[in-house]
Amino acid sequence: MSVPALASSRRPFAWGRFLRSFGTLIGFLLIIGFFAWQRPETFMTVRNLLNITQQVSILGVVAFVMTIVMVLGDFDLSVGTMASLSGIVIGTLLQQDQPLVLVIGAALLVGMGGGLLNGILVAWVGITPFVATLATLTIFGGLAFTISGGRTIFGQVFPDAYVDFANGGLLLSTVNELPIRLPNLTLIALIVLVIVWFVLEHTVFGRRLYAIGGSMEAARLAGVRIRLHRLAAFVITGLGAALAGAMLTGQLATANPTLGDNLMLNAIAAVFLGMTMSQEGEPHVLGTLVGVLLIGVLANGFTQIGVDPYAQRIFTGAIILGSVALSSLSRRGR
Amino acid sequence: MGENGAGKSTLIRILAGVIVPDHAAISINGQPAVIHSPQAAFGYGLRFIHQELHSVRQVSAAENIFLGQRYPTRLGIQVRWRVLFQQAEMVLAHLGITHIDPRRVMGSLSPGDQMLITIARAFVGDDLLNDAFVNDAMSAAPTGSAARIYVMDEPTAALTGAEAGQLFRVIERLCARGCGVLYVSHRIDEIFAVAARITVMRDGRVVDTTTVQQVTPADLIVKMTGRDVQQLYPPRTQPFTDAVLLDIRDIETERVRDVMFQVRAGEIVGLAGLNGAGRTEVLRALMGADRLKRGEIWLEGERIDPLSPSKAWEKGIAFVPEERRTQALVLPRSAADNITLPHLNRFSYGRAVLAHRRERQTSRAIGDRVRLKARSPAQVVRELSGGNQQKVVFGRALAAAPRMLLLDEPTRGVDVGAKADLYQLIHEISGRGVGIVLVSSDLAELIGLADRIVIMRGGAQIAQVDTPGLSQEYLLTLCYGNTADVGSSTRVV
Repeated sequence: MSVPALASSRRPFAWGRFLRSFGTLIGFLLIIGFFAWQRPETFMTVRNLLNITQQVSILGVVAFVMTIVMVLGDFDLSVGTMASLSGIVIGTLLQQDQPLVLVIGAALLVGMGGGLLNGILVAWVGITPFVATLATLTIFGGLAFTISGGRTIFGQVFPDAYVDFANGGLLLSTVNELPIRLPNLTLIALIVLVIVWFVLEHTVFGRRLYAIGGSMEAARLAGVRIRLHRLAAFVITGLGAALAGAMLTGQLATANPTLGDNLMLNAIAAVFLGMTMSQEGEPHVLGTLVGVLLIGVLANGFTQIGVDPYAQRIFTGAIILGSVALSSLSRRGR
Repeated sequence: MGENGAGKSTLIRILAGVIVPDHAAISINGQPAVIHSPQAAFGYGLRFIHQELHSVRQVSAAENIFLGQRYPTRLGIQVRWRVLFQQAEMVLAHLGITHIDPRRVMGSLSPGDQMLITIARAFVGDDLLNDAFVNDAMSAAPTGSAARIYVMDEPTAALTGAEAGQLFRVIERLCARGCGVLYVSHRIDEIFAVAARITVMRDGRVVDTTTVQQVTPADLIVKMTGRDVQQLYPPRTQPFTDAVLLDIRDIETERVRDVMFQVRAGEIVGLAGLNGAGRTEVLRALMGADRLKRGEIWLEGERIDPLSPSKAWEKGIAFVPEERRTQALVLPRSAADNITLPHLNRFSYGRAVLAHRRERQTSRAIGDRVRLKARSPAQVVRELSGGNQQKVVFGRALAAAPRMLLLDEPTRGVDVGAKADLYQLIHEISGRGVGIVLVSSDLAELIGLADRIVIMRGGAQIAQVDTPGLSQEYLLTLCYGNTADVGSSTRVV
């Protein structure tokens, strides 16, 4: 194994390769630098940065689990409405005075059930993930409306313990008699991140998911049970979406049949941003993390420098496009 | 000619405008040429036939032939399919290919037939064929400048002997018309059949250029490898035993029937037959990729069907599939990942958590054993040369001490040096009592390696012959199905 391959040994410094791996990260740091320069007293503070992590925690959970199905080369478009449905299930059951633990458990079960449905449609029935989850996106959204009767659930229904937890955090220190807390939602997102990272990078299951994503036929002939793995991936993604719905509902003390709908597109964008950072263009959850933070930093920073929220979307879209375009361009001519 | 990694493919990619060289002086027809893009290469009259299949599997063979050309249309909008198919048929007929219906979907053709289609593509627009189009009353022939230089990279890798013969006849006609052919191959006999001059490359440099008359095959091997490969097929050191390992009892799938033979421990059984005779499909049945409709498969006294690929690996049946890039390798992953993929349960704690260190150690050891040339086991497989990719596939098959090894065209597109490595390896494996079933279109290889050969024709097993004393010509006759011969001197099953 010691003989170097001829073609690769005398390569000059590969700018394309470098840009491909680090372009997005450099762009991310430049954006942080820009906001820090524009708003030196408010942006680069511990409080604001922790604030950003809380703001992106829910998106993060969805994006992390989305990474799992995208490793397979699949998509799950139904995560947004699943999060909404999860919130409605929580709100409705709490209205009936069910105990909180049971309620959250029920919502997570609904998420797994939805994921199971997606997995069966994709792996056993053989519908392409785009179409299958587009259909379940509509179904889950419809269920959320039907169960809630289209009404928003809010107020005293949500127990204090739930709402306080979702808005509270671990006390880190006190500055000027104001507490600095690590938000609980950030903590949950971090736990999900570590689990997904461990599963994808350090388990047999994760390795097989990457094999399927690389070549389904080769993976099948190498003894990987394709259907079982795809099914499991969708179940996990459904579970994560439901968890995100529970986080969102607790944070806002509100359940609304469309509350989580926006999560899907941003989650997919975050995974794509992350994919630009890997050599072979595969999704990796740490790349997804950068994508999520990038989206969060943009939202936070733009608001601080006073960019109109509608215009923010234009800039965010353009930056995502730019990053992915740069990566595709540097990949060409290989 | 040259070994894997000698720089042949790089040279071709430069000519094709895929790679821009740091420094180059290329002249075509005496004029200096600057090839900076594939379009420029096309403009200079260069046509390329690549080693690996590049085709659109979802559309018809005819469309693959005219890929990138203008289709014949009515009013420039409606495609005149009938005309397109007729033209495709004509192109094929001129290459002497009559057994392929151009209406068929590309993906449903055998790899060999797909290769013939991609070869046919390079001839579209050439004057050789334009004659035919002129005769065609409706001739709105797909346009393309008359090609002058054909570059063929291992075009016969997926072809049977007869198909290769067809190609050689086409090449002769091209040369007679003043076209140039740059022909890259690992098969020495082939080079002597088609070439006038031979250039040998090694380690990225040209070693020598001679005419065919001036060299012998043995000289060429020395030039290519820098060493003597005296005995390509090493003699059997250990004879096989009488213990039956694999017992195939009259199995039938969608595509093969009447298959029944046994493999004893340490025995190498060859599967011979023409392209499409069902050789690969027999292996697919044995690896659990195709479902059995009837029959039984026994391994060391245990009935193991119904099989799935995962169960086959579990039972100790390892395999090297025909198409390494699509069926064997996960290209964006590392060599180590690819080697351990079927055996992950062994490289994990509780079949769940990966044991990275054990994985690395084993893949390094396996890499050494198959003489893999890679920067490290972590190198992405996509970056390896064809021969080294194949070594990764071999390494995977060996990583967990298999009982049976199924090899489908194991040396396709592999250079002489690597071939000798692989042959050595095959002998070493069978010496350990592993039973081997070998499919190969290279008859010399089949006879040189196998102890016994099972002959397939039209999806059915028709005969078994012992290899000692078997000639290539006779074997070929059997494949074509001269039943009178079969009856007189072989054991018909």
